[in-house]
Amino acid sequence: MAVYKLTYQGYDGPRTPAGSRFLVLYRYARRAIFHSKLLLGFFVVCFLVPLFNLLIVYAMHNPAFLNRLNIHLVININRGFFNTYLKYQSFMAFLFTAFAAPGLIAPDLANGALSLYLSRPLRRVEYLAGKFAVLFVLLSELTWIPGLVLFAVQCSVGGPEWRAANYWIGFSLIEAGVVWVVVISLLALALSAWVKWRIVAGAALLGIYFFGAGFGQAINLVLQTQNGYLLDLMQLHLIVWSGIFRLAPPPLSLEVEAWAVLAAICAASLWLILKKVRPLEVVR
Amino acid sequence: MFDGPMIELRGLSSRYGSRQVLRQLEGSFSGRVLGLLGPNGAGKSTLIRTLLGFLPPAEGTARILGSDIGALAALRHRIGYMPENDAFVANLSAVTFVRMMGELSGLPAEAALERAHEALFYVGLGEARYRRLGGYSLGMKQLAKLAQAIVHGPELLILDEPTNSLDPPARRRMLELIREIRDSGRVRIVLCSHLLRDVEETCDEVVILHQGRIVHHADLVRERQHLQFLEIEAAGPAEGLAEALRGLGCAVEAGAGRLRVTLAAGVTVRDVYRLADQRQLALRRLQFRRDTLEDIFLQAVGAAPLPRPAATTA
Repeated sequence: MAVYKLTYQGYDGPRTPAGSRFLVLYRYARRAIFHSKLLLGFFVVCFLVPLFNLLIVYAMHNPAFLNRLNIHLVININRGFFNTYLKYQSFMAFLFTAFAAPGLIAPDLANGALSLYLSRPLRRVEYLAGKFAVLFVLLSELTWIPGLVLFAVQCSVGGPEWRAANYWIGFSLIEAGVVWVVVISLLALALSAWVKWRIVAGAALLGIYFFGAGFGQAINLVLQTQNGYLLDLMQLHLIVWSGIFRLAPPPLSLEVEAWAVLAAICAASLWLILKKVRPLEVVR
Repeated sequence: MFDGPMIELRGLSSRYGSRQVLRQLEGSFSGRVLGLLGPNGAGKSTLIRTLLGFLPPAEGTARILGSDIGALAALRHRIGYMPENDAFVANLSAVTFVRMMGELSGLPAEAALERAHEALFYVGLGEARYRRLGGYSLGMKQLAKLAQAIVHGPELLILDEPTNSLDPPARRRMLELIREIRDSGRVRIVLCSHLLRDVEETCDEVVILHQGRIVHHADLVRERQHLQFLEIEAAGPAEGLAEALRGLGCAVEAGAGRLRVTLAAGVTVRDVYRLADQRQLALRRLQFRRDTLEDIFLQAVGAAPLPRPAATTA
């Protein structure tokens, strides 16, 4: 089938391992996201938060630097510092998700591309793994991986005593980050699978975040309870993270419930995705 | 290349929810190009989807290129599929799209890129290969779908209504491509269509589906060679002539002054004229014909063939 011959030829060459095919989807989807200059720019902007935190870590170990700037500031670099870092950085990453995630599954469904993917040596689970991997890697790159870099810098400048007392924070960063990334990735993919219009899917994700927070607050105020936090995606994570970072959270009694709600969100998102990601519309 | 039957069906049934669409399909198909014919809703696309594993069989099973469809994962790189409906990734250029499909079929990235260019040139989209698929015309999208189906060099190509929405020149080009691919001898084709001419021009074996059942299975090459018959229209009652021809061993179907006669060995047209003359019967029309695919199709789905104008009269 050479271009100049214009005849059909079969293919007898080597083939890639079957288990690596989902990485093809990952590669193309990631490239498509960064094809947008807006998303690429925002991705870069998201690193301002870790850079600012890096500056704080540097400053806290260089009093001369602060004195030169005539700033009298004392910030403890401890579990609370890394928890706060994750809180702000996850918000930035959430905004990035709202713009990037809707383009992952929705266009494939809108243009009937699933039948092409799934007629190839690629199972439904591998298709989803490819799409999930894009968000998982990108959001990890935005949240807990820079957090680990920050932690590594603090370990190197904090001395052996700090290291010995706080080594577990590294594991907490990974655990808290991965929980957040998995929940947000599955939720975003579910919305991308069910809402064909990218803008609407992005707006729906933001809506879940902000309306959930507002509605939860309203329930707390009206019913004089703390159960409203269970409708607030950010609060759910803060409650869970407070356990992971060994902090005393405001609504301590809700930690088990918060884990249960996050697990339910993941299960429901997965169910919604599997319900929609099929090679054909089933007519009943 | 696999030499056995392209597709074997063993009591295959499929259903959408409670609605049964395919009913106990049986058969073994060995032709180079198998045409799947049937009226709308006959189950053609459902059969293809079941064979591709999109729809689990309700009963029975099938084999493609000798492998059970239950173990389809190991087989899919040998299959190319061109679906009926729009199927593309709108924001990709044609060459990126076809390359990605090649890589998903197991081609290394460099080979996939090379073959994507080749496939797009082959189907006639060479000059438009860097344009986004979302901006393609319907005909170009059909050609891009064909390119992605052949990029990985499949042994079996499944084409679902490939000439849908094509204008006459584009349709002719698509059929030429299918014939060229067929004649390369490296791939076998299943062509699903409700357009009889498309099937007649490209297929050597045909299966007619009606209400989820196989109502006819024909080797078109053999039927074209052997099923020639004589169509006679007489001016008066032709029962006597029919009886006389039956006496000579011919197969005769009679009705409304018309006879359809399959001549026995050693019987010629001269004998027909002689028998008619003996009965003082004027023949208005005498014509050699063979069943067209349309005749076969209409008989199979239970509809009467349409009258056609005479070519030879006597």
